[in-house]
Amino acid sequence: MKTFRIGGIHPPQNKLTAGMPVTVLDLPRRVQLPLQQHIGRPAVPCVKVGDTVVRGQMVARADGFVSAPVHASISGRVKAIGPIMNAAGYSIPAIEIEADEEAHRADDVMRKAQIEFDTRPTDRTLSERHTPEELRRIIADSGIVGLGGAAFPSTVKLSPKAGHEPELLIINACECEPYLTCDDALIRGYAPRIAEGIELMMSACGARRAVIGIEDNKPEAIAALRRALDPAWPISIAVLKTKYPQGGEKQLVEAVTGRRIPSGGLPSDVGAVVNNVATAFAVYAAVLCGRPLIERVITVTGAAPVRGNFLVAVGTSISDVLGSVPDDVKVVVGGPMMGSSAVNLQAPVTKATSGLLVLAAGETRRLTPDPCIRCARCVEACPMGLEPYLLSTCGRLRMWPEAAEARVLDCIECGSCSYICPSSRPLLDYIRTAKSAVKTLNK
Amino acid sequence: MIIFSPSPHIHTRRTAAGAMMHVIIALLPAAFAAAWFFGLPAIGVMLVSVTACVAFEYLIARFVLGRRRAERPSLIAAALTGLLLTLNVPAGLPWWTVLVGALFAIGVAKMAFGGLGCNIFNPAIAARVFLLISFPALMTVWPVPGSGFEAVADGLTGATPLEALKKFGAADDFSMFCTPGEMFMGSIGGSLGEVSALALLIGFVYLLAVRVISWHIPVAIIATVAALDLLVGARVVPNLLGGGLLLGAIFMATDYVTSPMTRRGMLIYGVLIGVVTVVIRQWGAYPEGMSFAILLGNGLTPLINRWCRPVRFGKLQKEDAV
Repeated sequence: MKTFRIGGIHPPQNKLTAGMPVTVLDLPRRVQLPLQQHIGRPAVPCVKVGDTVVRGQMVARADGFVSAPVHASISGRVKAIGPIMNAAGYSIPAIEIEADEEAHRADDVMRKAQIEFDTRPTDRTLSERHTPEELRRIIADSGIVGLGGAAFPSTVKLSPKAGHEPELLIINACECEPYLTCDDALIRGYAPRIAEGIELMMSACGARRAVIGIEDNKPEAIAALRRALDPAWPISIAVLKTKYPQGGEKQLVEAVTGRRIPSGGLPSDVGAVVNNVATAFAVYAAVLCGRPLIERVITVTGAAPVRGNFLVAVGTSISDVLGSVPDDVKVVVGGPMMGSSAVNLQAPVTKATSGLLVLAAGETRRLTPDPCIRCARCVEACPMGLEPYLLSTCGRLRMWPEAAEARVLDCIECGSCSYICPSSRPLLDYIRTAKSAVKTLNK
Repeated sequence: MIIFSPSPHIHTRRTAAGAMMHVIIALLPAAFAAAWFFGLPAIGVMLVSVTACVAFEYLIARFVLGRRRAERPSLIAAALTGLLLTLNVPAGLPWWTVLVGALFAIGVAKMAFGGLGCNIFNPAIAARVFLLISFPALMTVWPVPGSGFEAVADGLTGATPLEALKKFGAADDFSMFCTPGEMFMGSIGGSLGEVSALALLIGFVYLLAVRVISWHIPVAIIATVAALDLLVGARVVPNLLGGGLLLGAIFMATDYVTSPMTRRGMLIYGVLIGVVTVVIRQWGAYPEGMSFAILLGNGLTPLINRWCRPVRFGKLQKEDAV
């Protein structure tokens, strides 16, 4: 079975919510919609305080090509446009919408009907009505960004330079982070729709083939995909040996194609483009159902009061999703390896939120670092073939040129080194310091 | 108060202290064999050495380096050093000599370089070589092995297989001296921990099974020695089983701190140690060459690390490093 060749780790998978279907979480009474939920320029509001908006209406437009619009995820009235505090505690601009009671009930009915429609058999003739340009415009106007976590605007990825069309579209369904099962649940429930989304993406970017990269720890999802895919279609499944960080773009491209993206390069350098499986579903919903990206599936797991894979409106506050959590816990937005921990539970779930993981103090407390014993576990674990012990020392001693020479910018911040270190050294913390210093120096 | 920190948010349960405990466990068969063949006093010497090393570690960390506490992994590492040190000396070495060795191992070879993780040379090996050079007579008195936890009562001493080999050369007289079976089980003269190849191999299998070490260094050393012995016409079996080769290859050369970081580096390091060992044994003044070879390998480790970088993911696209 295929996998990437350099490094990697096997943390306990803890997929506590595996096997749970996608459950629709009721729309909240209030949403906060950050203007920047993506990589690129923030969106520009196109509504005023006091305006009435309906669910799905664009409330902020994209500012340029590398940007993404934001849509209302509930119907109601614009209550405020201004700074809110995000999960990490930083101030960010956002649009706040308060629900209108009448419209709210209608939205709920409508939404449930839509989800019901999504589970029905596919109608493949629909996807042949659009030109690549139209598809890219719809994807852009629907505010679709990469749902794997990085939230890069999807149109940008799907707009190859003339003559550089990717030969292969790789769909990332690895979900290599422990605990997370949102992609798994989505595939098990909506595989035919995902297949349609993949076809639409292929037409949008001109790729002639698509491969879905999925780890072997999701047998039900693999079976669902097999059922949904007609062998005659140019979409195949690559079942990969479970290993973290398989979902890293470079690792996935290597696992699927055997080709290594050069340092500082992109998948297009080896003729590929990578998109997340949830993004493919979002493309289906946007193009074939006219639904912009206003909700997504997130995994609520760990020590959360209610665990599950929930369809959540973007902008719902973390505490509305989680319910009440005890004080002495860590709330991780995303997976335990690369997710960020939250200080503000009133902050909204965004397009990039793949999960909310509640870790009890005992599961996550950092241990006192011991001296490095040069066991080389970090070197063995690094999926980029770097020397984390060396990079971390460079970061600690502020040796930026040496860090650059040891290719600190290649680091994908997967956290394998910090995870594996038997001396509990905060390797990645120091490597991040070095990385940002080297980036600043390079400018 | 909600807990907040950068990612990753989970951590392996494996610790440095745990890895060192595994090595200590893996040495227990060898320690048992030492007690079996050289009597209960062998256990006494081990206890003296382990206690002394831990005590020196604590005292130096606390009162010489002025640290507020001595970390748990450092103390376990010191215990391991103490155990390895006694397994590397002859039974019947006076207790004060063991103390001097422990002080050299912890004080000079380890703490003077900055403590755990900072030493260039394996402390136990450095101390053994220090004792060998300082007290050559005491360090080469080899009691004849007894059995069943009973030392040979009248204090008979004899030669180690490698000393005998040096004396007899490749002549058939050696076959009269000891058999491969004796060398494998351990009823031969030698340092406490090196006599029983069986006990050491059990430890090796254990270390591989719990993934504390990889096969690369031991196998590279053993294979190199065997191949070179064949090449120069030396006796292979006594060279592999009759001296400190297995103890050194499995437990000393694989010390994390003083051995290379990459698999390729480990193989080069192992081959180097193997070559030097055979050269010393064949043409040097000493019958045994493992300690010197490992020290040399330790010294070259930084260079090997520099030379054998891991395989990076992907080619450099353009040379635009700062």
